[in-house]
This record gives sequence, C-alpha cells and structure tokens, in this order.
Amino acid sequence: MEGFYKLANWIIALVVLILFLVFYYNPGGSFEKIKDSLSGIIKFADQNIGIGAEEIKAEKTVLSKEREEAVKKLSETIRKMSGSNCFANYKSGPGSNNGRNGLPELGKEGVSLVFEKTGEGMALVIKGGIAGKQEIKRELFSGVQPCVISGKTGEDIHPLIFEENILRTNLLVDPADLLEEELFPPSISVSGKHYLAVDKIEIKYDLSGFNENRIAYTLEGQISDFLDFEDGGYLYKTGNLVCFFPTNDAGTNVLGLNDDLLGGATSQELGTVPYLFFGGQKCS
Amino acid sequence: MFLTKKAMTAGFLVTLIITLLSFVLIAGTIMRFYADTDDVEAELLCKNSVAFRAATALKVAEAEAKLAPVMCRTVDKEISGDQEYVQKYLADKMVRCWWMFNEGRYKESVFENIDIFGGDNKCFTCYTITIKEDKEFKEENAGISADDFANFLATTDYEKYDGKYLDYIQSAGGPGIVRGLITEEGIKPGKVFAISYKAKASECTACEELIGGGVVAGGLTLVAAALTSTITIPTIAILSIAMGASATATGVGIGSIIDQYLFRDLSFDEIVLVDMSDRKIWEQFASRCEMVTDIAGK
Repeated sequence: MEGFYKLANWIIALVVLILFLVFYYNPGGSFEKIKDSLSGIIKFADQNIGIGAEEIKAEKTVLSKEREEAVKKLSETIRKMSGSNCFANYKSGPGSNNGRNGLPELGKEGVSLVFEKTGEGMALVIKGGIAGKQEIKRELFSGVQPCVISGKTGEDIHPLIFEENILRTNLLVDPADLLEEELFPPSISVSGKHYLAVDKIEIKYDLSGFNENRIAYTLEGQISDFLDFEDGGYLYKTGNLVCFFPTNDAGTNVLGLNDDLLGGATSQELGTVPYLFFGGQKCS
Repeated sequence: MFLTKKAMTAGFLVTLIITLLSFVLIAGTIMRFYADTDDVEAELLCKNSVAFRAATALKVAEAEAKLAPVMCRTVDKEISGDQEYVQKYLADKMVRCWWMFNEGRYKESVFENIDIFGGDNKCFTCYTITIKEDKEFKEENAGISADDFANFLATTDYEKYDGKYLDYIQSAGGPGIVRGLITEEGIKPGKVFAISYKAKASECTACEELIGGGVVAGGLTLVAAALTSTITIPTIAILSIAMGASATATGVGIGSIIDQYLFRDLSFDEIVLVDMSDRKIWEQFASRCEMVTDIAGK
C-alpha cells in the first residue's frame, strides 16, 4: 500500500512537471513571452543606459587654403604699404560677390578677421572654430593703426570728404579735355577729415540675408552695423592709418563710398579708386 | 574568573567608544592630509577625481547622473620675477587648470550631478596667484597688457603639447576658450590673479516639456539684445576693462560686459584669468559664476 502511495506521488509530480514544461516552453508559452520582454528590456538598456560621461573632441581650427592665401596676401599688402595718401590692393583671387569684395567668402563656419588697435600698432586676429569664437591665428603690424572711410565726426561726413578731396581733385587728365558729361557736377565746398581712426574693424560673412562678407567697426565702445563691403580689395593709407572701405549701394553717404567708385569700377573710370590706383597713386 | 553581565556590558561600551573615537581621529587625519597635500598631488587628485566622476557617470536616456565628488583644491601661490617669467608662470598654470579638468572633453558640465534640468554657470578657482615685486619688475613699472598676454598665449610654444598654449586649451581635448578680465593697469606686481575653470552651462533637455515652448538656457539671465550693439566685445582673448569712462560711456556696467563676454556662449568650457585685486571685477565675476567650493572648504 505504501509503495502505491509513493508511486502515485511520483506520477503526480511527473505529470505536474510535464504540464509546467508544456505550459512554459511551448511556442506560445510564457517562456517565449518572458524572452520577448527581456530582449525588449535589454534593447532599451543598450540604447538608453550607459556608464561613463559622453565625450567630445575638438578639432584644431585651421583656415581653408583659399582663405589662408587671401589672408597672407592681405597681411603682405598691409606690411608693404608705405607713404601716405596712397592706395593698395590686397585681392589675391577672384574675391567674392562677383569680384566686388577683395576676400573670398568667409563662410558660414564663422571665420572672421578682426583688426584691433594695440599699444604698439594693430593686431590681426583670425577667428573660427566652434561658433567662430576660437582664435586661429594672429599677427601684429607695428606702427600702423586701423581706420575706415566711413562715419562722421561732428558735421564732417568722412566718405563725402574723401570723395571730394581725394577722388575728384586727383584727376590725371586736364579737365579741359573732358567732355561735358564727364565733368563732375559742381560740388559744395567741403573741408575736414576724410577718414575715421577706429579701435577695431571686423570682417565676417553675414548670415542674416545678405550672404556676403560685410564689415563693422568699433570706436570708443560704439559698434556700427555690419555694412556693405564692396571694396574691390582696395586699401587706403594716410599717415600711419590703414583704412578699409565700407560702401553703400545708393551713393556715397555716411556709411561709405558709393560702391561704383570701388568694387564696381574699372581703372578707366575717372574719379574712382581704381583710376587713381592704376594711375600711379599706389603705396610703394 | 567569571565576568558579570554588568562588567561585560561596560566592556562592550568601552570598546565601542574607543572604536568610534578612533574612526573620527583617523577620518580627520585623512581629510587634513588631503587638504594639506602637496600642490602636485592636489592637482593629480583633482584630475583623477574628475576622471573618476566622469567614468562612473550613469547615463539613462538623455540624463546623465554623476555621483562621485570632485575633489579639487584651490592652490594659493606667490611669485616674483621678470615679465617673461610672470607670463610663462601664468600661462603654465592656465594650461594646468585645463588639464586638471580633463581638457574640457565632456559633453556635459563636470559640475552638474544630474543634467536633465540644465544648470547655471559654475566655476572652480584652480589657483590664486599673488605677484610680488622683483628687481626687474616693480609695481611702478608698466604692467603686462591684455594684448601682450594674449599674444604670448597665442605665439608661445607649450612644451608639453605640439602647439602653443592657446592651441592646447582650444583643441587638445574638447573645445575650449581662454578669457581674461584684466584692468588697463595690466598684469603687474602688487596684484592677485585667479585662474578659474568655467564649465559649459548645461542645456535643459527637459525644459521644453516642462515649460512648454521656450527653452531656458541653463538658468542664465540673458542680457537684453539692445545692449549688444553698444558693448565692445573684444576679439582678442583677453578683455582689458577700462575702469574709466569707456566702460560706462554707454551706460553699460561692468557686470553687463562680463555677462556678454563670458557667459553668453554656453557651449564652451573656459579658462578665465581674473584680476582679483579689483574688487568690482571679482565681485561681478563671482556673482555671475557659482563658485564650486574646494575640498578644504574654501
């Protein structure tokens, strides 16, 4: 009898085990469901859980070859400028904005050129990298300081004075040989300074809609807007000041010279910067 | 010999008290040891603690939780020497500070424990350096200007790196920036400078869901846009703050200049050199960057 009960217990246990195994391991059984859930959890963990802080790697900030060449030419041009009331041209390639600006496009990467007055002269700092905030390179120019043909001092509007005193009074032909339409209209008598010495000049690519290189300057804490910059690659030197040319589309005004007198002009056009530059008023 | 129950209880209590007192004494000695340790060991301890904190960070979805403490100590130094020596010393300490915080290589701020809600600007002062007079560099001499020091950093080779001092901070690890707040007097004897590490301010990854639209930039109070056109943001790395008319010519105070200069960009870790001798500059800087206390409690 005792043996019977023992056998019965074993059989019952075996049947329960078989039922459990069938329930658990059959294709639609709980084991598969648990496996699916676990694999889901593992996949989530793989994708979303980790140990160790995420790292980032900086890249050394460098200029593209085209920009490197352009900056080199600009620096060399500034260093070679000697004399006063003369012009130089720093354009090394086709420039940008259909050749109306002397530099290649500085681009969306945030590359900017900054000329800043220092105790000894002028520093050129080239910025780039992330958000254009890192310094790529710097150079020092002794004995010169930055200026612009823009702005006004009191009632003196510098670009107007420059156009009158420098461009119109330096015709290299006898006015008697000019046709009537080539003579300039009578101008008002102007006097005063034809340039503005500044603390800083910044040139960078504009992303707010103009999509071109533009120029701004700073004087005593006041910063201008980023202005049109169709300078044709020309620079002007007066005394120890090296001047850049902000321009204006609709004629010479407080913002700058008419761009048709610079980037939009040819050497044949009287009373323009290219005319004077190719006519002999080059800084040696 | 038999011990009574009372005697056994008393004995246990004495043992317990002795154990506790020993623990307190040993813990205190260890803490004092860490606080007073040699400067090099302090720097190593800081660097290793930052690395350990980063290595043990737990990342779950967008949140990163760092629980290991930062064990860094501000090192106070006094130096004297000629201008060249002073420049090199400051530059060496700036790159050392960068090295201590693992060269800005972490995507999130090293100081935030949990990044999901963003965090304010946080700074740690690695060194305070007092410049004493030397026979070749006295208080009455002209100081090292911001321009000159910026030029030094940009043009002098750093012997432990294939590049200049500035290159090391900008690109050795993560992207970094060097900043400076120096008066027009420049760097000269009689002044005290702080070299601080400023961590990037964390973006608030969960803020859009919580606030519903506008993203709060890590709790930073942004300067009104109208001011940007009237503040001179220096391009060279070191800002020379004119304490006279020009800093306030447009009505913009030093605090606003510092906001624009140091705290507008949240995406970089920075090494900042600050003239502590000028209380106004230091107070404005310290009020805008939460100073992380060091393990000595300073």
